[in-house]
Amino acid sequence: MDLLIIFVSALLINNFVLSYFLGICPFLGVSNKLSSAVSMGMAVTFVMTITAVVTWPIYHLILAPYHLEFLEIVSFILVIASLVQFVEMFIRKTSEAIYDALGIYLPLITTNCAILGFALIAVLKNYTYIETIVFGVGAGLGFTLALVIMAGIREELDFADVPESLKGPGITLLVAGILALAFMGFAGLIK
Amino acid sequence: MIFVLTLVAVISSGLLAYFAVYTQPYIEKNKKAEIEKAIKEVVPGTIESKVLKDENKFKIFAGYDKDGKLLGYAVYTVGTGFQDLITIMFGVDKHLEKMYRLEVLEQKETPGLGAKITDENIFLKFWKNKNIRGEIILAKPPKGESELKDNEVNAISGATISSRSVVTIVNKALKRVKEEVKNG
Amino acid sequence: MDENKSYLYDFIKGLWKENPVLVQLLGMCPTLAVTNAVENAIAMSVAVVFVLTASAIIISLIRKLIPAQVRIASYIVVIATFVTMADRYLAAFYPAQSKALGPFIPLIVVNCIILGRMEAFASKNGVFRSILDALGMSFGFAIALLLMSSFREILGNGTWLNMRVLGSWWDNWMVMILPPGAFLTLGTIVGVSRFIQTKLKKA
Repeated sequence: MDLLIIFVSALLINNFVLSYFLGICPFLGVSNKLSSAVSMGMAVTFVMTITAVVTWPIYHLILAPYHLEFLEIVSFILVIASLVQFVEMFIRKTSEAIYDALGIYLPLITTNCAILGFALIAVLKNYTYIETIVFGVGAGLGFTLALVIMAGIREELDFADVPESLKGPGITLLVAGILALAFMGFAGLIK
Repeated sequence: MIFVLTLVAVISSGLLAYFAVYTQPYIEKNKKAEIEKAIKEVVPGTIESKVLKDENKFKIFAGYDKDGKLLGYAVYTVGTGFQDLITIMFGVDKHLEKMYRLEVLEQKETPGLGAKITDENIFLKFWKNKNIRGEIILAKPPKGESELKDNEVNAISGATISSRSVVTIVNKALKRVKEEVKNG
Repeated sequence: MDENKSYLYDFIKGLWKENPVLVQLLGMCPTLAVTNAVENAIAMSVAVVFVLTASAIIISLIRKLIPAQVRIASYIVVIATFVTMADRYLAAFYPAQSKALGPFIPLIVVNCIILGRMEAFASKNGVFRSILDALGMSFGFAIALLLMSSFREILGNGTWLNMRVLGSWWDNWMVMILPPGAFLTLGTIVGVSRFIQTKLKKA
């Protein structure tokens, strides 16, 4: 039950993009086409899940027992950066199809604050190993959901008559505001 | 190349270690002070406190007066609210019959609505000196302050779910604390 | 004379013409997340001024010693070191602010403004000019944050830096301090600043 709450909460109620404001850069940058939004979302979900699997043991089995919590930020960012490199290499070697779909998005993920933010929040909330992984999958899918909805809306917006200075980021942010408003309706979904 | 990177990493870890040692006592003091202040608030007259139970989301502290006499227990508990987790601390007497008062330590409820669970005049005033032999009950419909029974509290208008969450979290914790204290 | 002018330009370009938030659209996450109150925006700005300037000093000093292949990794380590310091310092001496900002202080590490300035400026220029550039950029960031948070706090809570500015007749525009308000405010500010910049260019 707790796991379900964590999952739904990360997916909808406390959506990473629309309520925690993490991963805004790709949210604005990669949301102009539906197909690239789906790929980016999958890549983030994938990396986030692996991040969950790797960072939990690092913090709870290495840093915390030896009182090295102050290395949390340095070690997490280095681990995530090398993880992304490793995943990229692995995919390139194993599957041409997946690499074509996700390849170009992977390097962008290193600087996606949603990944590091997720790792830090999981530590802050003191989740167990399983909870952290569920949280990672939920957060990744939540990111994908927001990105895909946004891309769908933006594809339609191409045909709209938007004022010159609002074109691009301006209107995207305003639409995101309305989306966030809609997502607020999910609060109270679980009691 | 590897050498330079290693050097950078070693220097930075050294610097951080030094800085961590320097800030650690302050950070710990802050953390402790926050909990201690809350204990003194919810169990009036507490001078010293002792940890009886220390879990991630559930803690019991015993509060003692200046002669070392047991005054009551402060209960720290975390539960799901409307939006995110709510962290609560409340104080009960040593016979587990009366709740002194309740404090909301952390919450992320909707500002202006659910967030009013931290407001003394709107919500917290109902939680003083409650009878906790049974459960706390949310009064339906809300009553005048003098008409509330000694185990009833009023909900915040417009934030019934947040109010009900607090009641549920407290009742759950009450049940636990009664068991824990009975079993020593 | 010319040299003085370029020093001045290093500093002021970040404030408006190349403002990292309003023009370059970098560092959006903290801009949206911590601007629900002016108090939080100030704490965040101070942290960014410190991290950006300190990293710029170190990196412009050691820029010739670092091989190109491990450049980015070294920058990240240097930045992460200063971010951890800022984070611990806040936790030790300003616990309330530290709690309110939550993970957003550690997240300065992946703030594109910092890494971007290191790569684009501090790695190519001397210490003095790098400091000016870092100060300009971080002040530009601070200006955007102050603007955002002032709007949001005044409209959403009727206060500015916890001081009452609007009378009791004001019905708090609650949505402004909630997440949607952040997007709506930033969208409007970005639109307006673009409008002004295109007008200025034409004039």
